[in-house]
Amino acid sequence: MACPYKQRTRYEERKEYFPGQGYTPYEQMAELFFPLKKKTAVKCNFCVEQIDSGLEKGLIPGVDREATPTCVNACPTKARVFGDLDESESNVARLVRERKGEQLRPDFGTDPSIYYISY
Amino acid sequence: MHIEPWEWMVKPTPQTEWIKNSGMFIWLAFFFVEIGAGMYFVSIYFDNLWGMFIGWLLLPILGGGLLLLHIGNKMHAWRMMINFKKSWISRGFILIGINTILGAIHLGIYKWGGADSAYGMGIVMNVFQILVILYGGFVISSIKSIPSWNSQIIPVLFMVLGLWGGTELALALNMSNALAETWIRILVPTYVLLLGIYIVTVYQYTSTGKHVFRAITGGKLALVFYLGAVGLGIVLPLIVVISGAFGSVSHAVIAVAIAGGMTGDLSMRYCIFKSGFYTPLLPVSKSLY
Repeated sequence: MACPYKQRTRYEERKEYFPGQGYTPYEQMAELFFPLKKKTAVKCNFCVEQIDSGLEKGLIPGVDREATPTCVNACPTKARVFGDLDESESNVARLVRERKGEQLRPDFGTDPSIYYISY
Repeated sequence: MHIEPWEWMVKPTPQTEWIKNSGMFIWLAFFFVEIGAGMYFVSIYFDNLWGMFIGWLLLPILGGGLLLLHIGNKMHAWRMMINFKKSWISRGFILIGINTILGAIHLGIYKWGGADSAYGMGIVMNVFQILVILYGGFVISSIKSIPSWNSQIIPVLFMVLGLWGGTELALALNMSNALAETWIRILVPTYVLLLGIYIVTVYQYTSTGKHVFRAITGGKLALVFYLGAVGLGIVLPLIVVISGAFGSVSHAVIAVAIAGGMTGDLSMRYCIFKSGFYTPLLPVSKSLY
């Protein structure tokens, strides 16, 4: 309820990615290695464990793959950019500044750290 | 109603987290917390120790218990307390906790020291009961993504509901309590007025107002609204209140009115929870609704 973007959900049961076709191998592995507790809140955490692990090795999030969220690495069109918004010369900060990145629903007053830019 | 996976981005969609499946616990928890606090509040005025005790029990046991039932990992429930600077849930958890402890002290002083000894503590407890009732309304009104909830009338409406419910319970304990009847004669019209203002402001001034109005007055929710919230919750108590102004009313009729009022309270809260529509995430033309 607190998240106006509906990005926090309450985990009831693992839903099939392709409804009616059973779990994909990835979902089976997820259930095996990362079983979620029912009725708990679930949200994206930007692969924080991966980022923390990369930072410990001196890697730069958004630049080095091992310190960057998996979805950013996986995007074939490089539509996702990750980095330190507070670092003015980081890739992501320059993009937001130069391409006039916009937040979704700023009227909610949440000041999200996710910006959308148009190409 | 079937919703396509993307529709929540472009159309108002009803919230389900706090009313569907285990979300029902949240709906009921709000009810019991507020009528428990209301009962404690009015029982202090009526010098009714049993009323205070029952109100005190309702809060943590039914209210808090139902909230805990909603939580998946109950061993992590203590984490709700640690973010009171930002979280209304955290503030409520702490508020109800302190209220429970102070209530125990107050009841002890009242029982063994007498009403005079407990007078000062009674004032403190009255303040806490108002805070507890208002807290529920503030939690709901703080949710900006549901315009029909993001209203300053909600905390006041819930406060009147809580006080009314508590007074009804106190009257159920002692049907000859004329003071309770007087309170109800004030609270019922106040509730009707506030509810009317709430419905009008939601319809006129919120982006999802028409959806809320249609949801409440049409479809599956209409039965709960007209029969429960309006019939049992407003018309029946009003008839008894007006009858009481012209003559005495039998205890049986009062009992029926109390049951009706409670049912109406639950029904109205159900309608509010069920008709909480999220605004679409993307700025789209309202003609697409």
